[in-house]
Amino acid sequence: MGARVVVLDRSLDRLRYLDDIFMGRIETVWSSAAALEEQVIDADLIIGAVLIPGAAAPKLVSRDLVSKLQKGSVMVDVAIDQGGCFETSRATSYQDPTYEVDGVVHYCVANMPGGVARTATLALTNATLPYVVRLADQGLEALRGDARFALGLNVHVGKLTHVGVGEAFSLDAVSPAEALNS
Amino acid sequence: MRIGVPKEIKNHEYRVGLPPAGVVELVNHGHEVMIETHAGEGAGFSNENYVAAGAIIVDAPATIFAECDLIVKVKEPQPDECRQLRPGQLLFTYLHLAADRQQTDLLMESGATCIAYETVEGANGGLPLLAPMSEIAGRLATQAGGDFLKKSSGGRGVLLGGVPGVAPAKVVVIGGGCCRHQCGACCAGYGRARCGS
Repeated sequence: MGARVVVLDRSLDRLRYLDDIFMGRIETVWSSAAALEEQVIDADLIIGAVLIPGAAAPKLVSRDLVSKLQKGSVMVDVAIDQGGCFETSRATSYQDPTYEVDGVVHYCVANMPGGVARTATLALTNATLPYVVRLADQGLEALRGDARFALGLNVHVGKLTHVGVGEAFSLDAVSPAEALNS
Repeated sequence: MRIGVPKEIKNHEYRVGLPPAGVVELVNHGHEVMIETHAGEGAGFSNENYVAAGAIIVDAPATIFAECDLIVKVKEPQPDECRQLRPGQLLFTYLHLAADRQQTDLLMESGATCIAYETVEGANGGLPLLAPMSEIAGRLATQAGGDFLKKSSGGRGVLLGGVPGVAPAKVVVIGGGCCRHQCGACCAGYGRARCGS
């Protein structure tokens, strides 16, 4: 679309990669708290896309920082499913997708891909179907025989089996392997 | 095994856990597939499409939860759905538990085995079952952001790409999240790499 794009990340490898594939068309900035503030303060659109697999998203833009942003700027929180990465985020739906905090528009639809249901169903099931077939064919053996697939296990027979979820709620979690083999 | 796909009940959720082509695959593997009536309609798949693929259409989600060994969905189960799960049953869907204590408690109480799409890792690392939705969310984030920047929508009245003689919008993409490439790609005008389900 030709916008001026600044990408913040804490991985230099990733920034290097982005710099490479975009051939200088986007700016990359290492994400310190100070650099983040400096960048967002005059932004028109801020897209929050932080992910720690399975765990609650870290809050990278504070309530206080939101109050310093340009009025009418827009914040889109793509991490809202995992709790959101702006302190001011709360999940919304397509029915009422936005709300304002200090004149800053917040867009936090929790199931964004659901809006393009056909594309999203095909894209999702292209990826999930081989796993569904393995579960159907082998049941729990499909997980016992593939540690990476077993990382998907979050709850098994009353036990929490994902460390990130356990940490979010201060609950005990056991490893998938331990739960599956007990 | 008997596999069941209920209609999604989250607000404005029109995706479905299995398309007719997926039903064919499972039936070919000797399984039985139950689809709740109209479950695929929002994604453009009719009951007739599913019947032709070899599925059984059922009227009530309760039938699916009562009779199926494996439940395949898209979004996290809502409280009503969680309460219908039972010991010995497999649930395969997005869960996003770290943001939802109530669901975590209900799933633990159910005794079922709950596998989340978003934490499955691929053979070479990465999150293969989150990636496709991240790609979509990343592209949509730019589209939605650009739309809400319109004055009539509460925004600053700025056009993302600008025009000759007027500077484009400044877009800041924050995060080690996986949709960053996608957002950056889209905003910069490449339309091409990936958070959110």
